[in-house]
Amino acid sequence: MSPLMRPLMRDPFEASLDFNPRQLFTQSEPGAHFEVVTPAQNVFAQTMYQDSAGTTLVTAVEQPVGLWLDTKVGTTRGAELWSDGAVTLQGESTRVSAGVYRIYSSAGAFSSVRIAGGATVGKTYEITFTIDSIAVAGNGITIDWATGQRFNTTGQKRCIVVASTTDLPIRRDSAGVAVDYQISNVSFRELPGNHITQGTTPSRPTDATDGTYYFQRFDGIDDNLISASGGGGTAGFLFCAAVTVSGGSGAARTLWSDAGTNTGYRVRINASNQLELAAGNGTAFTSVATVATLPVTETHVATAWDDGTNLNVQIDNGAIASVARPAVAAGTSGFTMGRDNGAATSFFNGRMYSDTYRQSDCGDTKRAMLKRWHGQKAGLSL
Amino acid sequence: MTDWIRYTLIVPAAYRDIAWNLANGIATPGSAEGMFTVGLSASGAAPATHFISSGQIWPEFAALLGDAQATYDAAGGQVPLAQIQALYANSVIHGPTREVVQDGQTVTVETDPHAVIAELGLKFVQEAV
Repeated sequence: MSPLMRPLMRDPFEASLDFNPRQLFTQSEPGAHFEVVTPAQNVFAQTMYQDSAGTTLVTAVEQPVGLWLDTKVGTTRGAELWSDGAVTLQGESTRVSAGVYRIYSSAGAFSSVRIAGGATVGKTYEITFTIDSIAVAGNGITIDWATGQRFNTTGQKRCIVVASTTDLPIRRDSAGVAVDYQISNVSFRELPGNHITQGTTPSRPTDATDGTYYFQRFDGIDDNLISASGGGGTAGFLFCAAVTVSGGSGAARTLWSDAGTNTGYRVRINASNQLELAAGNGTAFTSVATVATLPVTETHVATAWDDGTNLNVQIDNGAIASVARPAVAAGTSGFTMGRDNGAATSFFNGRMYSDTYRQSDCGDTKRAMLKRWHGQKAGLSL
Repeated sequence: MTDWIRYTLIVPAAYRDIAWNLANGIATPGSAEGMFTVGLSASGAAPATHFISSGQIWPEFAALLGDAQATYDAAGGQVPLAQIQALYANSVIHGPTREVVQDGQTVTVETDPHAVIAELGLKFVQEAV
């Protein structure tokens, strides 16, 4: 082999100095990657929003995080789905000119502009548009899918919603209330990924920093984040994150879970303060826990994986604890971070830096690089 | 949304529905839906005797807390004033800081909701999953 050929033949993960967890998803592997970044990286504002509807960016620490974008494929948006020629006008709405619409309802009857059949239910879309003028504010205009966001001032607007219908509408907000809005520059684009949200305002983790490293602070009371998609894997699993435990010693604290009743996967700090991975076969959970613990105030990289043979857990580069895997029954569609899946229990109390989950293991070499990468996000050298 | 205020709210189970309905009636739709879902009890066993919600809340909501008349007005009179007064009289509400007595001196400290729970003699209700 010519020396010139060697780099091309080498595993790109081997000895890579610029590994990024996104490299674990180049073949569209199911999973998600969430990255806390510094303002200086200028991605800060693109991946975290204060509200679950994605209307207000996180611009500084100590703001709540209601939406954290999965960036396993970056922040690339899909193709433009809005096409003026395909727009359907409903009610009294009209087309002012190409790409400019009047959402008008004289007495509050239904009125919208929409692309019929343009979306896929369950997928996430970013919607942007400009409100040029408002003649009758009423209760504002909104997107059919989302609840909570209401637009009633002029200027550029944005929201991120999970489609619950196949239509792409912008409509008057409330029945019985007249509106008259002119909008333009409409864009509907898919935002691929399993994004995590928290609709309840006080239950949102807080974006925070220790002065050097950035993280999400979970209060151990009610903070958690939920993805409506992802989860449900049965053939393998991988979770890796750097965490600082702030409290809750002696109580279970869940980091990631798609567990149902004896189904799915769950990564948690158990009542003995050990890192634990459990997987259910539909009848019972099989679990394995590290001998080492995650004490309060300490920062460590927590890694849990199902390699198809065993369930494994490891803290930093410490001893790996393993147990034979069960025939895993699928957990829920969607997953939860920071508490039990589907229950208001086992809230994580601490800092969660960036984290990665995948529905398959990635092997020892890549896992080592993944751990190192996550450690660096929290100031650890593994 | 830059003036978030951190609050700790603990309500007796008997007042949980009132608190939840008020929060949902006043807040932006959906943004209070999961409030008061975390249970507390003296032993940590079910049933919960209290429910807690803690975190950053919108300033308009924070301004109402503890003021029964203002809350009643904001809710459009949908909950009787007497019920709101009873809710506040029986609830524990702390903003970002609170006063505590340390070594005989009253000092202002940052509110730690876990410390508040402990002072009330309560524990999280944990049910096996």
